[in-house]
Amino acid sequence: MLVQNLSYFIEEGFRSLRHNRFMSVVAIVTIGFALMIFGAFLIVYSNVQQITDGWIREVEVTAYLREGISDDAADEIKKRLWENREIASVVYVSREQALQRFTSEHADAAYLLEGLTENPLPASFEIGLSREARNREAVERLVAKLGKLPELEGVQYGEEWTKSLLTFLKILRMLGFILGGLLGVAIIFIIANTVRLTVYARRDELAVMRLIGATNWFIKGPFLTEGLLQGLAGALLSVGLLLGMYHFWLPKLQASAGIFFLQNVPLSFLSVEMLLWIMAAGMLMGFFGSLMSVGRFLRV
Amino acid sequence: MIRMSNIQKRYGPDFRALKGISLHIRRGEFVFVTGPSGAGKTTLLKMIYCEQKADEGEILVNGRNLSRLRRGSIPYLRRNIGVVFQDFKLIHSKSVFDNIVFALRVIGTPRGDMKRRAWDVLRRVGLQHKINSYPLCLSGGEQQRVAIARAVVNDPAILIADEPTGNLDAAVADEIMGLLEEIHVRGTTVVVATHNMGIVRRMKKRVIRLEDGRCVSDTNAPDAFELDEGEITLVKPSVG
Repeated sequence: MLVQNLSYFIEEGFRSLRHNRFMSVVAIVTIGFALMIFGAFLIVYSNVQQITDGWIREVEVTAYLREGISDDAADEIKKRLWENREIASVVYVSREQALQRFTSEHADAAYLLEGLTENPLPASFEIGLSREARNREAVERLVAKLGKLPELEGVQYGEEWTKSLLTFLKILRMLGFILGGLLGVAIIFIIANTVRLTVYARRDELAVMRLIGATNWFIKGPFLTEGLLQGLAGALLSVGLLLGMYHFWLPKLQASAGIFFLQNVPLSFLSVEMLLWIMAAGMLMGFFGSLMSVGRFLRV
Repeated sequence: MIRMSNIQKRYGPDFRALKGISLHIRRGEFVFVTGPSGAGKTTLLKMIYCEQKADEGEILVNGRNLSRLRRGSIPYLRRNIGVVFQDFKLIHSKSVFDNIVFALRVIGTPRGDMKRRAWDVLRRVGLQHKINSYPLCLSGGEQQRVAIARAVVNDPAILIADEPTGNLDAAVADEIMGLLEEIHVRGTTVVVATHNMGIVRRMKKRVIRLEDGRCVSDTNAPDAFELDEGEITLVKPSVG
């Protein structure tokens, strides 16, 4: 019986789409464009995130050791540092290594070291952050914790630009939520409206169905299918549009040196998982849109 | 089969459609509900198939107390009650055959059984030659026969008809009443609301008369003379 009902719902859903051809096409195209805008935003966001992820991954905390700490004692401190969850890697740079690095990196500034009898550079730890610690709060927490260690003299990290980068990502994410929310509501209303027209056109039929003992779910089924199909078709259209934009328009835009730091950076398309989410979102919004319309009718 | 006790129904604060109706219709009975327009006939029938709920009082249909019936159970109650209307309420976009099949599909009849049962019931109402026609291509009488076929295709225990002959001429009205009588003979409880007194006289069945929301008389197979001659009669009583 379930299979029989499902095939009836799908059959009726398609019949309804065909019957209201014009309104359905308008709804599908509108949903397609709305989801495309959201998809384009997702592409930008995921690429920005990928790029900044790379940058943040490179954020290193450098902790300088006080003078007079032996290599053995440093080893001991290194072990203690490892116990922190925020820390993914610790590299010990001895005073000699620091000097070597300085002279090779600043060969033209060798005069700075002239006349010095002793190596002025401190030993240090170069600390890499674990994935969950790559945010401002965690970094600051870690820095504060390190500051309390008596063996350490000072802690340094790319404070300013990390802060602004993370704030930028946060704002972008918030914009995404707002945009997604607004477009979602718009899509639900578009579908609710087209389905409402179908419900209205078939109100006599629905009244008959109620009288002959159809359950509410049986009455709703074809309309919910219609909404689902509209949402799915809109989502597929948006993916098509996004693919078209990605392959034909974006290379031209990048070549014309328009978009600041994304220029010459290879941009990736949405992952399969994201595409499936867009489809699911389209269908879900279609479902709720039509549920709103037909639910209101059945309550009367 | 149908038992009502002290049913009250209001529409808005000022209009009382039913004022303390109590009655009992036994299994297999054929009952007319008569009375002038606005007497409460349609409201009374709607109570039986749960289209309206009583404000006060109790209704038992086939042993089920309708005041305690959950919303979700109403469709299952209706599957055991066939309803026929004055305006037929057929789906115009479906053929005669599909109208019947649709009623079977709605209640989850197996696909294999649907066609056979639809065919059987259309033969019973004498419309086997019209299965591919659309409702608007049929006469009023034929449309009503399709509506009756749809109402009884599921073999309901109760058949309710609200002014089933209201839009039909005398001869066709008699045919329709003949059909309802046939259905009754097969064991179905039939309740017909009408103000066509000619039909009521000829059928010689139990008559419940409503006036202003009250039950003013309840007589078994009354004599023609017992009936209120003041009724608006559209049909002349036929001889015999």
